[in-house]
Amino acid sequence: MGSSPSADGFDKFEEFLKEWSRRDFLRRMGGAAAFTAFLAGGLELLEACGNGGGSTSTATPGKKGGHLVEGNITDISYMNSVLSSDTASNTVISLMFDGLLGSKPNGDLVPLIAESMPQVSSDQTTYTFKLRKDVKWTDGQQLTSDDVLFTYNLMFAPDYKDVNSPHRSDLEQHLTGITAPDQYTVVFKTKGVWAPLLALHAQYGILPKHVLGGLAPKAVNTADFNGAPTVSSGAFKFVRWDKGQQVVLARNDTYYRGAGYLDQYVYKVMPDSVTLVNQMKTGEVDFGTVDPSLWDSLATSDNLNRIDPFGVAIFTFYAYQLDPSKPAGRFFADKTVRQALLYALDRQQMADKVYFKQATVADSVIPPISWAHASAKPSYGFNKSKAESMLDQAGWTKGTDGIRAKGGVQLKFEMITNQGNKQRESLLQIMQQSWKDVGVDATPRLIQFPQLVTQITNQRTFDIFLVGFSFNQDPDESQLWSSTSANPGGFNGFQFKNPQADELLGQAVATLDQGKRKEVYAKLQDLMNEEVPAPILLFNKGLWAVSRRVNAIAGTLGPYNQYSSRFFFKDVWVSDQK
Amino acid sequence: MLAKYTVRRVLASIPVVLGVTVLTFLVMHATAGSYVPGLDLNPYLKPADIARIRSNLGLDRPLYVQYGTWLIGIAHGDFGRSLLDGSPVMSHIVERLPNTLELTVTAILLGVALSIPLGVTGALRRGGKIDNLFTLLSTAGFAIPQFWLGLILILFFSVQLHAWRLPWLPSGGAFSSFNGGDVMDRLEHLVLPATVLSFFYLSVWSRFVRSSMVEVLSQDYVRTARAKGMPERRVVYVHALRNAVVPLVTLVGLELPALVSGGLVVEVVFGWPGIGRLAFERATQYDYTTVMGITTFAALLVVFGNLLADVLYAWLDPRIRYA
Repeated sequence: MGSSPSADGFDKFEEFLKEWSRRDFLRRMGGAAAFTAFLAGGLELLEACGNGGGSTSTATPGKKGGHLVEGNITDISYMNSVLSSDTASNTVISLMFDGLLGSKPNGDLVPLIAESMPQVSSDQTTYTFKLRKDVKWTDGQQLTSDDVLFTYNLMFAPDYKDVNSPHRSDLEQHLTGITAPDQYTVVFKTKGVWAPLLALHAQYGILPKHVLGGLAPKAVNTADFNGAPTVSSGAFKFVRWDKGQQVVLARNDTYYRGAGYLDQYVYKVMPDSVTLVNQMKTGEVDFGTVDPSLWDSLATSDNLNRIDPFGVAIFTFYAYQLDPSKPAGRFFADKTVRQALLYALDRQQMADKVYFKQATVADSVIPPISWAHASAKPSYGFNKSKAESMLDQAGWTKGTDGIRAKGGVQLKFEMITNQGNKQRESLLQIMQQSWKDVGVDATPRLIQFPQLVTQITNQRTFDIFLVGFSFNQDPDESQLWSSTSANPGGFNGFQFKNPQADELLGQAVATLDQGKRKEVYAKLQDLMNEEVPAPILLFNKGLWAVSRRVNAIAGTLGPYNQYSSRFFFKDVWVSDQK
Repeated sequence: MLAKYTVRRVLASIPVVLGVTVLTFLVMHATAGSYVPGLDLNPYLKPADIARIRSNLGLDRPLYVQYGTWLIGIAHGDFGRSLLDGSPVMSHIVERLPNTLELTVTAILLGVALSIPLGVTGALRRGGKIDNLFTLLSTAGFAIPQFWLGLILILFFSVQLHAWRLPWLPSGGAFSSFNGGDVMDRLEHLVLPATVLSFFYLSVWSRFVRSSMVEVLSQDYVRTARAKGMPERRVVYVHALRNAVVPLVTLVGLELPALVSGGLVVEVVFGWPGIGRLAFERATQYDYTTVMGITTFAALLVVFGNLLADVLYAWLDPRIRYA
C-alpha cells in the first residue's frame, strides 16, 4: 500500500463527506481520526474480499454457552402448533415442541418423539407409532401417548370443533380415528391410502395434556399458554415474549435428545428486510434471511457468511381465467393462446432482474428439489417468434393498432396481484411489456391482499392473477390443480377442470410407494406443461446469512427444515460463548 | 354551575368517540371483506377450516351485530381480543405504552429544551448568519421525511461507524436482545429515534418561539426596561422570554395526543416496539379488533385531554361557562 491508495481514499472520503454533509460529526471526531478510521475500514474491506464469502461449517463438537439472535420481519402469533399456520410461529414452535416426526433439510422425515418411523399395515391405512420413553416435559412430567392423543384430538375430535385449528378438515376428510392402545403407542387409521399424511400431519409440536387438558374448547383459543408456554419438551424452553420486539428462549437442559449448546435463543422482530441486513452487519442479529436485492451487498461483509443459496418449494405463478362464462375465459380456453403467452416471457430475465439471479426458471409444476420432480415437456424457453406464429395460427391477428384480435374481440385483459409486494409488481410490469411486444394488451392492477384472496377463492372475476405459493415436501398439489379445489373457497380459482389431471392426482396419493408415485407425477408434470392453466414462472431460493461466530447452521439448513423443523438447532453453537 | 358545564361537555364527547369507532369499524371491514386475519394464502388451508374459524371468530355475523357486541364489550372496559393471536387487545396496549411514552416524552422534552434557545438566538440575531442557518435547519426539519432521515442516521451511525470500528449506535429496537435492558442500554437505543422525532418538533417550535420573541422584543415594556438601564440579558431572558413562550405552551399542549400516536413513522423505521408500530402492523394484517382498540383508546385520550382543558379553562375563566 503506497501513497496512491491513500490519496485515492482521501478523495473518496471527501466525496463521502459532501454526500452526507455530516460536518458536526467531523468536528467532534477530529478529521484526522476519522480519516484514519476510514482507511482502516478500506483495508479491512480489501481483506474481506480476499477471503471470499464461502460458508464454513465444522464437524468439531461445540462449546456450551452464549446466545444467538435470529432476525425476522414478522412477529409470531401463536406458540401453539394446533392453532398456528404461519412460518414465523412455526419456527419458534419447532424450537420448543417436537412432533412425532421432523424433517431433514432435503425433506426426508425422521423420528423425533416417535422411536422410529411408524409401522404401516399391509393395506397401507394403519400407522403405528411407538413413542420414546425418555421424553420429559420441562416440569418433569413424562410425555406419553396421552399428550399425543390430546394434541390430535384438538384438531380432530368432534367436541373440539370450537378450537380455531386450521388443520381440522384435512384430518376429518382422511382419518377414521386416532387411538392410544398403551402409554407409548399411537395408532392413526386412514379412510383410504393417503400418501401425504405423514409429511402434512405428523410434524405438529405435541402439547402438554396436563397443562391444557382442563380447558374448554373455546378457552384453548385464548389460553395464556399460546403466548407464554409454561412447559415444553423441545431443545429450548420459553423465557419471555416482548411483543413486537423479541421472543427469548433458553436451553432445555433435560432435552431427551441431549442438551444443546446455546444458553439462549432470541427471535428478534425487524421492521423490514433492509434493517434486518443492517443489523446483521452490525452484529446485533446473527442469523436471518436476506432479501435477494441485498444478497450481493453481503459479499464483502467481514462478520457474516452467506449460506450457499438452496432451491425452495416456493413458487410464483400466474393463472389464466378458464371459466368460459367470464370474458377472459373465452380466449384463455384455447391452449395455444396459453402456451404462446408463456413462450413470449423471458423468465430468465425475470429471475435476473427481479430476483437478482436468486431464482430458477420453472420447468415443471413440481420444484427441482423434490424427489418427484421431472423435467417436463414442452419446456417453454423464451421464443418470441414462436409465440407470434402460435397466436397467428390460433387466429389472433394484429390489427392496425398493433393489438391482436379475433372475431372483433381484442386480446386485451387485466392482471391482478397484491399491492406492496415489489417483486410481484415488477413481474407484472415485465409481463405487460413482453406481451405488448407480441401484440397483446395486458394491464397490471394492484389490489389489497384480502381482496386478492377473495378474488382467487370466491369472487373469481379476474382475467389473470399472479401470486406465490409455498409447499412442503410432499409433492401433492391437488389444492391447485384438482377440480374439487375449483369449488368456492378453493385455490383453483382459475377453474382448471381436467379429468386426466384429477385421475393422476388421485393415483399419486393412493399409494405409499415412492417409485410408483414418481411415475405418476412424471405423467402429471407432462400434462400440466402441455395444458399450462397456471404457469409457474420461477422457483425461489432460500437466502440466509449467518454470523461467523455461529457454527453448525450452514450445511444443516435446507429447504424443508429452514422454518418449521428446527430441532437441529440443538447442535448450533457460538465460538465466542457470548 | 361548573358541574352542569362538565356534564354537558362529557355528554357532547360521547358522539365523537362513537363516530370514531364506527368509522374505523366500517373502514376495516370494507377493506378486509371475507378475509380471515392471520390466515395467509397457504395451500394447506382448506375452505372448510377457513369457514369454521371465521364463524368461531364471529366474522360471519351481520356487521351491526359484530359492532354491537364490540361496543357492549367496550362499555364494560373490555377491548376484545386480537384476531391474530387471541390475546387481549388491552394487554398489547399496556405492554407497548411505556415504550411509546419513553420515546415521545424524550422527544418533546428535547424539542422544548432546544427550540427555546434556538428561537431566542434567531430572534436576537434576526437576518444574521446564525438566524439564516437556523431557518435553513428548521425548513429541513419540515421538509425531510422522518423515515428517510431515520434510514440515513441508521446507515451512518450504526452501519458505517460499526464498519469503521468506531463507537456506534444500535439501529433498532428499544433495548438489546441479550444482556440488555439497563438504563444505559435503553438510552443508547433511544438516541437515534428521539433525535429524528425531536428534530421535527424542534423545527416547528423554534420558529414559533422566534417570531413571538421578535414581536415581544418590539413591545413598549421591553423598550421601557431597556430605557431604565436594565441589563440586556435580564431584559431578554426574564421579561421578554416569559411572554414569548406562551404560544409554545399551547403548541406543546396540542402535541399531547401525539404522546401515543406521534411517533408512528419513527417507531416503524427503528423497529421501536410502541403503540404506533403496533397499530401500523396490525392494520396491514387486518387485525381489526386490535386496530379498533388502539383508535378507541387514542380517541378516548384526546377527548379526555380536551375535556380536561375545557373544564380547567371554565374553572379559571367564568366567562367561558356562559358562552
